[in-house]
Amino acid sequence: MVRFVIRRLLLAVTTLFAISVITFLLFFAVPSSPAQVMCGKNCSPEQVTATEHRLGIDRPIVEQYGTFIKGVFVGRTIGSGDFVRQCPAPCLGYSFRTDEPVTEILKRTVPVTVSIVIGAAVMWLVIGVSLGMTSALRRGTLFDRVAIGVSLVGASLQVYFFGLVLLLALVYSTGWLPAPSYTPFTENPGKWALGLLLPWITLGFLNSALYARLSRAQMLETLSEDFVRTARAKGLPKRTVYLRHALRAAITPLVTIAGLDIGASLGGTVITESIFGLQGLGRVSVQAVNDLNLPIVLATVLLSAVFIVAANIIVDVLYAVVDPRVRLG
Amino acid sequence: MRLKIGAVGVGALSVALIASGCSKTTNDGGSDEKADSKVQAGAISYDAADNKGPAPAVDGATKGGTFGVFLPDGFEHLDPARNYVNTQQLAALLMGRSLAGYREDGKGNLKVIGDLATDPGTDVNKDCKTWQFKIREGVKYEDGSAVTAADVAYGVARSFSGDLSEGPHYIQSWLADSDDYNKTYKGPYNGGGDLPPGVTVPDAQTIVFTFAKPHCDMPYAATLATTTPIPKAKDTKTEYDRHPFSSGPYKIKSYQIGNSMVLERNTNWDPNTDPLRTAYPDGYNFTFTLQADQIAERLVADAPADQAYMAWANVPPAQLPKTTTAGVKERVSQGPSQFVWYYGINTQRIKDVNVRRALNYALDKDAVLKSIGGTAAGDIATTLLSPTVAGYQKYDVFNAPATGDVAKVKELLGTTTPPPLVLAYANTPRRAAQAEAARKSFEAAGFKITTKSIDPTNYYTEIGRKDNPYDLYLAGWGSDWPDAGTVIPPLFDGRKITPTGNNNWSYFNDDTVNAEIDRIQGLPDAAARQAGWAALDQKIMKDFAPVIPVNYDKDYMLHGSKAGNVFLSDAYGYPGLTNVFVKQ
Amino acid sequence: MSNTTADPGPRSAGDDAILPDAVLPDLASLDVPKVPGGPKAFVGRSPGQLAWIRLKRDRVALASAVILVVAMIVALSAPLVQRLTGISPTDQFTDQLTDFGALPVGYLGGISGKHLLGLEPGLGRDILMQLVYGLRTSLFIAFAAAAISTTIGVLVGVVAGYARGWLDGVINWVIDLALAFPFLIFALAAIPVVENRFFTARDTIPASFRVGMIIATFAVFNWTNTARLVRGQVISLREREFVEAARASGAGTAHILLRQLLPNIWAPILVTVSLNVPAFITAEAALAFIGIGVTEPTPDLGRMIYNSISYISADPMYTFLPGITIFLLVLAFNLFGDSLRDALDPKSSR
Repeated sequence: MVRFVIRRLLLAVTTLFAISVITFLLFFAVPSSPAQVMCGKNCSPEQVTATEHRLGIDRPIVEQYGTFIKGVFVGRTIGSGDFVRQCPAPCLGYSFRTDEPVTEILKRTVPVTVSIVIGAAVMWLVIGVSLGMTSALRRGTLFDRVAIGVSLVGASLQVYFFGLVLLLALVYSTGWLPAPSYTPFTENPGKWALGLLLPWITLGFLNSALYARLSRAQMLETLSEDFVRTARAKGLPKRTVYLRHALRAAITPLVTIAGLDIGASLGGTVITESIFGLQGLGRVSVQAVNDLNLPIVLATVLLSAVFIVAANIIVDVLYAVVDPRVRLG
Repeated sequence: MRLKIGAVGVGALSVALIASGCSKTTNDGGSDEKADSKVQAGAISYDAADNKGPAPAVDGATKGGTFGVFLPDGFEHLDPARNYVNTQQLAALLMGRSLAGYREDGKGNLKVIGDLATDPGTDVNKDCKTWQFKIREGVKYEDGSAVTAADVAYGVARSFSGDLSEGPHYIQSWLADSDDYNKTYKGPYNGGGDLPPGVTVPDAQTIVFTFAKPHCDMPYAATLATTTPIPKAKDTKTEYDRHPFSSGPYKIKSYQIGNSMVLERNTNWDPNTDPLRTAYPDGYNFTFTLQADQIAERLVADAPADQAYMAWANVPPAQLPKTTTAGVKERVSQGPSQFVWYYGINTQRIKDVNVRRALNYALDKDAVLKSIGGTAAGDIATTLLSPTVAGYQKYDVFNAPATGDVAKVKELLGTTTPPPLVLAYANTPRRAAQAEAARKSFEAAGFKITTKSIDPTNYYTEIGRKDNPYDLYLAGWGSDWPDAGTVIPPLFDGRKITPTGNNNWSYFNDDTVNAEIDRIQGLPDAAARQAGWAALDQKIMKDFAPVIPVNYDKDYMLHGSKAGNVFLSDAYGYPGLTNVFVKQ
Repeated sequence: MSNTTADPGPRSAGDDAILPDAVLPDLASLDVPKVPGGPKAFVGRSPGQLAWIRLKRDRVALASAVILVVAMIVALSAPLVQRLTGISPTDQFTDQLTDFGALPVGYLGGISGKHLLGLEPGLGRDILMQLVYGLRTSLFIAFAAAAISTTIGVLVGVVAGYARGWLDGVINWVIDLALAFPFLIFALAAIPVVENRFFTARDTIPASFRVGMIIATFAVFNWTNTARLVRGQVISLREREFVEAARASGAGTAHILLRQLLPNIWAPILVTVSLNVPAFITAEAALAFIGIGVTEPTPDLGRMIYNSISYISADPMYTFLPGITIFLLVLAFNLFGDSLRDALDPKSSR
């Protein structure tokens, strides 16, 4: 197990390196310069050159990459002359545009994205799994068919359509919910939840479809297993059989997929944030790409990748823990 | 049971949805004020009464309360040397005082008076080359220390630095007598001196600017944040954006980027030294977390928490119908901003003036304006100057209907087929829609147009290149101060054309026009200058037609029912904050 | 591509391997005596034929297939629709927009006899024509991207599953890399860079080039799902007796890959394709949200939805119409894909 985890970690690190290299190369393939982007009106070529020098992007690419890596692990100095600053490890640089430390930018945007995804994940798992399991238990009835239908509708909707419809219906027309906004959890948990309720409902409904279908199929398969029949024959009450035995067996693949899903969601919430007007990781990274703001782009891309890669490793380990038949290697 | 409740819920939702779409949209109701109906009466005042503090009281104003501002996305730069955006300039006025400032009453009366200085600048030798300012006594920073002329000089000096160069460059270029002002002086960092060339500080309360050429609009330039005092010891360089050291009535209490900025009173500010600011509210609260549509919804709803708020964002098209009802209509500030939008015609490529005139007739300005929201976003323009500029006169050289005149186009072009043209636009949804509307109307008139999208962050850099390969491009220009001297020379003086970084996007260069520009700039009398610019405006369009004026930009912003004395500033284009109050 | 789960490998239920030919008895070869006047003769059928019969009998599959065929016909015959209505998708009817706010005059976003689905605010274009042509763009991109990414995925998956060892390891690593990289950011950054390389500043980039770039980007990122799936199938199949038998009788690798393995995995591949197409339709619309979608003036459903966000409370029809179109299309594909999966899997329980 330990060897497996170490090997996966090493592979993950190489993946992250590759991603950082690709991002660097993409950035430098763009013909325009971020210095020009920041310059505003009345930009003379000398000012552009001076700004490029201050940002350190007139150095060779390899040197810049090396400085960046060094900064992440050890820390580095940024700027020169009277504008020099010390940036302790892990140093992700300063935003080209506003000079804000990238770590600060991450500190205020990552909680937004994480809040959206975790809340939505709880919602889609609860809705999806309970719907799926219940319809498996009532297989063939009207409930089952309606549930399948509803989950199919959910799987076919998109966040940009459904989100807008809910915005119109629940916020603008009727005012039942407040407009989505982010309040830090530590500041006011009630407001935090209320402000994110609409994105949670939207994503929850859309993604629950898959889990409903999956858990239903898993439950059906488990229910037809011998051990369930034996347990019922032994006289165990339905509830014990279903919850303690059948559920445990059915959960395994769900854990896998849920983990991967959450990881992937953390890595990509641009559309959701854009629809609901929340300043999270996705939105900031899109703005950064448009501004050619390399430090932010690097940090957000790497962070998204870390989420996905970590989710992969955790899921694999969990899978091995939960299902003793699986051998890692 | 579950199903039934669900069905009822869905039913209620659908009714709500359909009901919201089912009302009939009609073409009445809308903007009452046309952009060009306001007359701008601006003046530079040396009247002792005007230049004396405290600022004149506002009728019905009450002291106290916290005034709020909704601003999507917040501020990028509050550092005076890097401040060139109107929202930032308006906010900075609360925390910093420049040598001169604007007193406005919201009815079109605008006066330039001394803010930090006792008057808008003394023209010592009556040649507009040497300007002396006397700093008022008793002006203190947020920590109680006194503001001195050396601090003003230091503020100007650091604005020369290439690292803090995002602000306007007027004073720097005038002092260095060259647009390339870093040739002789690079700012006080890395070993540079603390005084820029041409600036002297004879004593603690006096600062003198000496220019090689006459600049009679120095009083206007003195209103720029460039002249805000900054003590050398408090210069945090690139961190200054986060906490400017206040010389005004308020100072920063907290500032979270992307979230909010809260201002509280600067107890060391003396109202008797300040002829501009009434400082009624006890504090200000800037909220950055909402977008324009949410802001509009909240201000229309006018909940108690939002009543003392004002928007620094135009009402988007979706919410416009909600703002025309009674109770909301009165809380809209609308009027022209200083921006005028034109299609620049690259006169280096389109040399035939008849083709340019034909383009002016061909464009369906109504469609182009409608694509960004119709009369809520602006009014059709026929002049080069904005109605907010002093001395503006309305004229129309072509007298074409707003939708264009295809017959006139054919008449002008005759049998010659016009060359195929490339129309460049910034790649945002708004500009893409406008480009599409323009393309359709030009093609309907017989021109062959291909559109080319440019990355929006690069757009002005690309069209600012002298050798740019495009023929038509939309550009907007706002006067830096309400005098045509900041509109016509940058846009139409051909001698200012450089390989890159141009504002003369039509690359227009005519000797007679250049001579006329020089003549007008040398006139000592402000009224004569205004008349001269207005006449030149008409002449340029009539004889040369280097651009197609499209629309005057219009502001359409909401404020809550407890936000008092909110009006659009002619100088800055957005509602100002220096004389607002919270209705109790 | 975010918000859609990565296609599960050999561990999820519902994707059971289809039994290969060699295991099912060849019924056709059984010599069954015919009883005159008795029950009908016993006819043997291949799994493919059995699947087709099951599919035909499924009413849901039929209904969704009809919707899809109608959509494709409408999309293909877009110019015909234009000739019928006399309106082109780029015509601007600005005289039917209000002056203040440029909203369509009339009810429900300007629905009238001439404009059956109303007009766009701002530019005043006919929504019906925009939908018809937009459908065309979306379907074209989705099918092309699905075809290309599936082909690449199958090839890579087969190689990875069969080869084992370091080649498998490398391919797995590349798949992880492609999954970890944020797709939208890559599209946003890479597409303009490539376009700049191929076109000078004065050239207008033809819409077809952008469409091609979108298809290429989808293909580059999405072959991984198919590859994983195929690899899983190949791994579970390669130890079967029939493969061993083929190898024992001297068959080369190519023969084993093409003639033994590939025919046994076509079923899950088919299902994957039918589920990939709607994912691409959704994703193509999503590209408009970050500004890297199909350019004006080519009609595009995603761009319509994005532009409609600011009009949601003033002109909701502008959002509903493209949104419902995409929804119905995706729903039809999902239903058809489900029915296809059920038809192909003899062990499926309905």
